[in-house]
Amino acid sequence: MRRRRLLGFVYIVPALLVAGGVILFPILYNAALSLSALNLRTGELRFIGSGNFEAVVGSPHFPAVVYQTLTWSVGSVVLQLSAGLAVALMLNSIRHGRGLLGGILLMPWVSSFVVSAAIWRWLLHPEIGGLGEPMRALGLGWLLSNWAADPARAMIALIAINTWKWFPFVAIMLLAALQAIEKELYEAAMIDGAGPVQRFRHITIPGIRLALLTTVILATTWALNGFTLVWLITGGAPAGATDIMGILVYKLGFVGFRFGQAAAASVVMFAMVVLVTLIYLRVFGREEAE
Amino acid sequence: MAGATRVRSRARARQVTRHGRTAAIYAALVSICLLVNVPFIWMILSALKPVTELHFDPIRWLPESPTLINYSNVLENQDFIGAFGNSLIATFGTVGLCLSLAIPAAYGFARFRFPGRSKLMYSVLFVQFFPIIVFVVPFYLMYSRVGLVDTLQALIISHTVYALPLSVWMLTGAFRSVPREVEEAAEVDGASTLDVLRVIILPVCMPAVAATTVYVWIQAWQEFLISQTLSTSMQSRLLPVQISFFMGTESTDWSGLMAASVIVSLPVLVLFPFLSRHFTAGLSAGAVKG
Repeated sequence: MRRRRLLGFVYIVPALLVAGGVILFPILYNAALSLSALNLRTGELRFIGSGNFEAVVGSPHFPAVVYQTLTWSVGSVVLQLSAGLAVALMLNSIRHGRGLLGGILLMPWVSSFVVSAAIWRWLLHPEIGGLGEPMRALGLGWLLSNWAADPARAMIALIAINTWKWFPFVAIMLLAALQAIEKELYEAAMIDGAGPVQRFRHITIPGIRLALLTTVILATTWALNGFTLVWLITGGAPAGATDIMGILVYKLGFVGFRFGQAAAASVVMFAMVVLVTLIYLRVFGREEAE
Repeated sequence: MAGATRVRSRARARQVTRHGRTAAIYAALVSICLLVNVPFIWMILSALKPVTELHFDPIRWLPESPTLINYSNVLENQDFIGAFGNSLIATFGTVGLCLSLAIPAAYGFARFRFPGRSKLMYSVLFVQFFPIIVFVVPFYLMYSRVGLVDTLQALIISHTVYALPLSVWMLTGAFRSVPREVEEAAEVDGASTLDVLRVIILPVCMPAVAATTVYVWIQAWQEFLISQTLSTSMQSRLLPVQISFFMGTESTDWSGLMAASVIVSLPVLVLFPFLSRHFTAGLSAGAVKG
């Protein structure tokens, strides 16, 4: 028996070594970096305590960045979940073609960030973009004109594109959970005279509780940690109005070369994710037998 | 007599409503799937347009005189070809490395009880919470210390590490669901652990393994930030980064960009529909039973 236990560990060791070494070092280094000043020439770190954090959090731009990050995240998660749940419910209620439709639906999630950004920038191009004509025909042409220079419309565009990219994934995750609910529960409820809304509230939602929580946490994490889509579509423009935390970190490090501050900002990002996750678990996870 | 007829016709009316509702749901789902893929249709059509058609007024979706010149431009571009080759090597390398680490690790987690197992499992997922930005500077410093900057090996290691947590998670969930009796019977017959893995677990868990493979492949193929930071020359330039160069700030070669995007998306667009059924099944196996 002792041997079996040790044996299990042996299987894990390779993965652990690689992952541990390659992951642990950056995390620890990043933490150290956030508390230091980096000499770019010699690469040495000089401990300066909380100086970087003060600079980042105290900067006049910081509150706006936090606000924009929250807007981006809340908007994305809410839309992704609504659309994902709606589509999951629809997919759950049909009998054939679920696999095929699901596969086609997942295309946005599957496509590369760069390709998605390129297509959408092209589609939404104010002058020669593909969506120009249809939108003008619907009287929505004003939405497109020079949208990239308008903070509100730029953020809306970003959230919409982010939703387009992720909601299929949410739909598939929720679909799996929906399918795990026993049909007999629904039938019994129907015999007892429960209407569709009641069945939804008392059977469906509780049935997918765990998957819902997991999906919400994942979606929120990915949104809060977002970078690539925003960077490739607006780059934080106009004038930092679409800067989210990830963009701030990148700009501090690779545009301003203030790596200590960049590291501090990334620690703040991480803290946000942990905080939000803990809140979720506290509020929604209470009834789960973990 | 009359009463029975009324019951029958009411039942038939209910059946018609049910058919009608199912048809409506199918119609809605098909429309959603089409709408969601509209950007890709735009991408494919735009790639067939000669540059002269870009400034048509009004913008038409279908090309007047379709041409393959954009594709030939892109495919004759040495940088593009180089990046494509690099991406193939890096992606398959990542899949190979990641699976050879994740499968044993998942087996260890699934089958053996050892102290600290559950903590380790959750800490594996914990890494997902870190924004990828956190890794960028430390990775660069780490790899430069061992002289691996601007190499494909560095990219393979980095991409593997980033994909490991979720891979191990998905595979562990699947491996755990294999009934122990089958394994124990095989072991009684003298099978070694490797045999058990090869002959019993992997075939049974093929959906989850396929799902994980697809997931890792996609992650590696489309990763952008680390690929950009760690590659300073064509030697390790990957496709996503190469394509982002098409998006200049001044003038963008939209047709070329679309052609390049089509080429980059081809492997994924072709492979994914075949694997999607296994993928959705495997993903849910990890998530629901998680």
